[in-house]
Amino acid sequence: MTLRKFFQTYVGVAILLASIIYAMVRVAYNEATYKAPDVTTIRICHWQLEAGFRDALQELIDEYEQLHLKRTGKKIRVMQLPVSERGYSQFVNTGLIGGTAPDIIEKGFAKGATDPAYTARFFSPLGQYLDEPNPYNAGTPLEGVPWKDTFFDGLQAAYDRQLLDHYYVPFSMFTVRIYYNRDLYRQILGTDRTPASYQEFLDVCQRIREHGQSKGLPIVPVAGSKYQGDLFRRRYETPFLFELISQTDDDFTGSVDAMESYLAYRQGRWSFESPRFMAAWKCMLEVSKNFQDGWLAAQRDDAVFLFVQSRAVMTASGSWDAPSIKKQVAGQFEVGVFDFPMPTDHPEYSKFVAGPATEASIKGGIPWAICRQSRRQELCVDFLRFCTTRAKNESFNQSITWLPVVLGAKLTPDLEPFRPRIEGFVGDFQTDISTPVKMITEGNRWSVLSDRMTPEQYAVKAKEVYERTGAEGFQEKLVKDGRNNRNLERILASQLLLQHIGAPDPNGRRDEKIGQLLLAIQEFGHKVAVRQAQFEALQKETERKP
Amino acid sequence: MSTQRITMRNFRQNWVLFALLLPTVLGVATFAYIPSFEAIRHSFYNWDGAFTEEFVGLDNVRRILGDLTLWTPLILGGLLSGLSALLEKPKVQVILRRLGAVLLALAVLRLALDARTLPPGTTMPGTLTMLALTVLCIVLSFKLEPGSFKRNVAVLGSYLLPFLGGIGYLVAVRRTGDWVLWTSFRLIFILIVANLFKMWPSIFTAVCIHRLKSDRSQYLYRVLFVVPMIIPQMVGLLIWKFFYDPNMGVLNKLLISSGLDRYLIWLDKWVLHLGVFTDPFKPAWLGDPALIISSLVFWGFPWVGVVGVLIYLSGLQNIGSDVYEAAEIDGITWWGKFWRIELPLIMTQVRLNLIMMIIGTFQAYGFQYVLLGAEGGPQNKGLTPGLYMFYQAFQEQNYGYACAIGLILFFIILILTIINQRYVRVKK
Repeated sequence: MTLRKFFQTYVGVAILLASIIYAMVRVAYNEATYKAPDVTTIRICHWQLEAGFRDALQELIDEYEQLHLKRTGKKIRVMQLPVSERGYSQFVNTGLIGGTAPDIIEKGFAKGATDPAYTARFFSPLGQYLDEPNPYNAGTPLEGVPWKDTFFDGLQAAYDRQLLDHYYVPFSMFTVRIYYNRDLYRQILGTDRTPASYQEFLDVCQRIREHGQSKGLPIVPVAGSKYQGDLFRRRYETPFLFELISQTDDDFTGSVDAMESYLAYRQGRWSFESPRFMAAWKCMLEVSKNFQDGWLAAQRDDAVFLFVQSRAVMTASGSWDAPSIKKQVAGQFEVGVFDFPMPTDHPEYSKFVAGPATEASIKGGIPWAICRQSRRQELCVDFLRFCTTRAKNESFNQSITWLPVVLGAKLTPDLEPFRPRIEGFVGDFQTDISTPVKMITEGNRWSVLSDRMTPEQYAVKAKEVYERTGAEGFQEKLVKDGRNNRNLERILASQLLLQHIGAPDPNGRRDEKIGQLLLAIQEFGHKVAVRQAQFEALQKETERKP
Repeated sequence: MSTQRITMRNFRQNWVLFALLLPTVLGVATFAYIPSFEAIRHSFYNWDGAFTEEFVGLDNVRRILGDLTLWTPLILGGLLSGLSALLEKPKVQVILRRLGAVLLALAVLRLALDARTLPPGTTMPGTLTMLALTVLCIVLSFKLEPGSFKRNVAVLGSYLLPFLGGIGYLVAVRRTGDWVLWTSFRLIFILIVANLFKMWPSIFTAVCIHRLKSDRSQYLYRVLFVVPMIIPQMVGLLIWKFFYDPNMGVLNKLLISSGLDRYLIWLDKWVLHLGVFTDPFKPAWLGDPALIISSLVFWGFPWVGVVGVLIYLSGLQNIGSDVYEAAEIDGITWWGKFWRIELPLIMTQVRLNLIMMIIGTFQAYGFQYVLLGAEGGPQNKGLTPGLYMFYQAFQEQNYGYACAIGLILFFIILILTIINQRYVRVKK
C-alpha cells in the first residue's frame, strides 16, 4: 500500500482517534487540576452573565483562595459555573435531584425559590451561622454584630416563615427604572425634565414618535422585548390592585396568594372582567404601544441594542444592567435614569391607583444558598462570610456598579437614582392557581400587550381557564400545604425528642425553636383548615345550585 | 451449511455468543429500558422529582383523560383489535377481535347510559352512530364470505370508523380531562399534515441525485448533504430564529426586496383581515399568534432533510439497472419512472421516514421551546404535548404527571405506528 493510499484510507480514523485522545487528555487534565489530592474544590453556580459580574466574583474568589492558603496552609479552589437564565432552572433541578449540584447555588428561577419543601430538602439552613458574628468583620465597626444584622434588612426578607430559618445570603439588591438617552431626549423634547406623571410620559412618547415620523428617522420611544414588557407590566398592573389586595387579604399577610384570591373569586368578591383589571390592562397596553414594531419577537439584548444604537429614546431594566448599558454607550451619549411615572392623577386610572409599590420591602438579590448535599458546608459558609464583609461587599458591588447589601457599604454616585424608594404601597395579588391558568394567562397576556387581543377578550380567556381548572389547582395546593405542615411537625418531633433525651444544644436555642415551631404549626394548620372548610362549603354550594 | 438455532437449552455450546451479547443487553437495559420503566412507574405517582413520591394510582391518567369509565372500554377494545392485527395465529386473532367488539359495544352502552350526564359540547349522536356502525362492521366482517367486496368494505369500516369515532370521541371527552394538553394536539395534527407534504422535497432530491449519470457528481452531492449534519441542531434553530426576526431577519428583508410585501399587505387588507401585514412591513413571525403556526410549518424550507435524502438514496441504489432498462424498452417517461418504479420500490424507506416523522412530531418540544418559549408563545399557539410535558416536569416540578403525559403519548404513537405498519403498503 502506498503512503498516499494509506493516508486516504486511514485519515478519517486518525482524525477520530486524535479527537478522542485529545478529549480524554483534556478531561484527565481538568480532573487532575480540580480533584488534586491537595486542593479542595467548591463549585458555585449562577445565572449572572452581565458584564463584569464574573470578573468581580472571580476577584473575590482569588482573594479568598490566597487568604485561605495563607491562614490554613491548604489549597482551595472555588469554581464558577455561569449558566444562562433559560437553562438555569433545569440545570439546578437536575443537579439537585441527581446529587451532582454545585456546593453554592444562586437561589431563584428554580421552583425551589418559593417552595418551602423543596428548599428544606435541598438547601442547608443558615440560621445558626447567621446568629453568630462574622469573623471577617473583626477590627471593623461590625465586629461582634451577628452576621444577619450586618445586612441592610437584618435578613428579614431571607427568613422563611414556614421553615423558620434563613436559607440564603444575598450579595446585592436591585431596583428597576427607566433608562433614557439624555442627548436624544434633549434634542427631541428640548428639555432635560423627565416625565413626572403618567400622562406626561405618554405625551413624551407621542412627541418622540411624531419626531421620528416627521424626520423620517427610525426612532421609537421605548425599546422593548418580552423582558421589558414584563418589567412594565409588573410596575403598572400591581398598583391597580392595592385596594383589591386590602379587601381580599383575609389572613392579613399584606399579600393575596393564589389560594386566597381563588376563594375570594368563588365568593364573588372580584372578577377578571371588573373595571379595575380592565383599566390595568388598558394602561399596560398604552405603554407597550410605544415599543418598536415586532417587540414581542425581540430578546432582552435586542432591546438594549436598539437603545444603545440611539434608535430608542428609553428602555426599562434593573440596576443590574446599569454597568453594561453605560459601558456600551460610553462616548456616544449620556444615560439618564428615572422612576416609572404612576397614573395617580390620570382622569380614568387615578380612582384605582393611589401610588406605586414600595421598594422598602425589597429583597436582597444574588441569593446564595448552600446545597445540603455539599460535603464542604463549613467552607461554603466561610466563603460567604468572607464575601459579605462591608469592605468586600462594597468593592464587589462598586466594581459591577450594583447596590450593596451590607450596612455601611457605600453606593457609587451613579447608582443614586436606583436607591430604593421607601414611599408606596405593599402587596401582591396572585392568580396562578393552576398550571393551565399560569400557562394560558401568560400566553395570552402577550397578545394583550401587543394589541392582538382586547383586555375584554383576555378577561374571557382568563376566566374560562380559571373557572375550569381552579378547583383542581386549589386542591393540589391544599395537599401541598398539608404536606408542608407535616414537615414542620416532623421537625418539631425531632426537636422534642432531642430535648427529651437531653441531647446537647450548642446554640442554646432549642426551646426558642420549639416555641416557634409550635406557633408556626398552629398558624399554618389553622390557615389550611380554614381554607379547606371554605372551599368545601363553596363546592357544596355550587353543587346545590341547579 | 445448515443454520443452528441458538436457545438457552444449548447455552453451554454457545456461551461465547451470549457473553458477547451481554454488554449490549446490559447497556440497552440500563440506559433505555430501566428509565422507560421508571417513567411508566412514576406515572402512577405524585412525584415532584425530589422527595414527594406518593402512589396515586390512576389519578394522573384521570387528570389527563377525564372520566376513565368513558375511556376504558374504548381503549381496551382498541387495544384488543390492534393486538389481533399484529398476531399471526388466526384463532387467537378471532378471539381477540370478538373480545374487542364486545368491549366496543360496551363502550357504546356506557355512553348511551351516560348520555345525559356528559359534559356540554359532547357530540353524542355522532359518536354513538360511529361506534354502532363499527360494531356492525365487525359483526359483518365475521359473517360475510371472505374475499367478497362487501366483506372488504366491512373490514375497512371496522378500522376506519373506530378511528374517526375515536377522534370525535377524543374531541368530546377531552373536555373532562386536561384540556390544555388536548388542545396542544391540534398543532401536532397540523404539523403532521404539513410534514406529509414536507417529505416530498427530500424524495425528489434523492431521485435527482440518483439519476445523475456521473458517479463523481453523485458522490459530491452526497457529501454536500452530509456536511450540514455536522452543524448542531441548536445552531440551525437559532439561525431560523434570527431568520424570522421582524427587524433584522432575512425573511422580512427578502419579502421587502422582492416586493412581495406589497402583495401580502394587500392580501391582508382586502382578503385575510388578520392585521398582521401592515405598512411598514414588519410582521413578527414568532410574536404574532396569527403567524406562529405558519412560521412553524415554513420552518426548514426547502424541507430537504439530510437524513431523509440519504435514506431514500440507499433505497434507490438497490434498484437494479435491469428494471430501468426494461422500462425504457417499454417507453416509460421520466415521471413514469418515478411514479411506477422508484417510488414503489422505496416505500420501505418512505414508511420508515413516516414513522420517524410521526414519532418526532409527537415528541417535539425543543424546537418550539427555543423559538417560542416554555408556554408556546403568544396565546400558546406553539404549544405541543411534548412542550407541555416539559413544562409540567421542569417548570412546575410535576414529574409524575409529566410521566403520565409521556405514557399517553407513547400509546398514541404506538397506535399510529401500528396503523402505519399495517396500511402503508410496500411492494417488493
